[in-house]
Amino acid sequence: MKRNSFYIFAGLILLIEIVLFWWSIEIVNPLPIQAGIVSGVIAIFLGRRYVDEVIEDERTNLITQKAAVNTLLIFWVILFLYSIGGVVIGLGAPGIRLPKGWRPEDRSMIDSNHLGFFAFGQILVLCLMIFLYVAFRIYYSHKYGEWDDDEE
Amino acid sequence: MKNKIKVFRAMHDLTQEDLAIQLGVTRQTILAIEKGKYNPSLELAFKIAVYFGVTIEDVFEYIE
Repeated sequence: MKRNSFYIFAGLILLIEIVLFWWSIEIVNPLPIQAGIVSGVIAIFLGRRYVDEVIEDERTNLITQKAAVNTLLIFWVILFLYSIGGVVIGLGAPGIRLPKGWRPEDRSMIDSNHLGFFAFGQILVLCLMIFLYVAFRIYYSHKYGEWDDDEE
Repeated sequence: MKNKIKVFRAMHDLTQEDLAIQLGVTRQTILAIEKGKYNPSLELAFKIAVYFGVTIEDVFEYIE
């Protein structure tokens, strides 16, 4: 398989994932999208083996490593901030036992629907991670000559 | 670090793509090394030198 064919294959999988995500929302069941993501990751992993051309080497690995490490450094701070906010809200709910007088006022139990909003926020944070990773990849790819002109 | 890969390629009448295939790397990696944007690992540097039948010092020159 050529490198471009593999990218088309990966794009098709992405489209299928979007359809599955929409379908999961329609039937209010997360199983199709969860199974789809696992299957998609496995398909892409297996698909890479059939690419004839060299698509990664020590330079591309270095770009990937640097982008991943820098993304992780920033992402863990953002995720920690988001999570600590969730912990504060969670401990403020009456479902958690705390000594009397610890809460400033009576609060209602967190509605299960609100957990969906929390998950939505988590997905936004994950999307931010993807944007961060792509930005770092672009930066390091440029630094290590990914898009330089051929002088031949 | 300076290198003479382009010179050795010309001497052996090789394109960047040809050399990349022989060394098992991408063409962009050869281009990046030639332009001095990427310093290869010791292993790849040895592979390049061995492929051209010369020593590493003949291909690469360290400049502080």
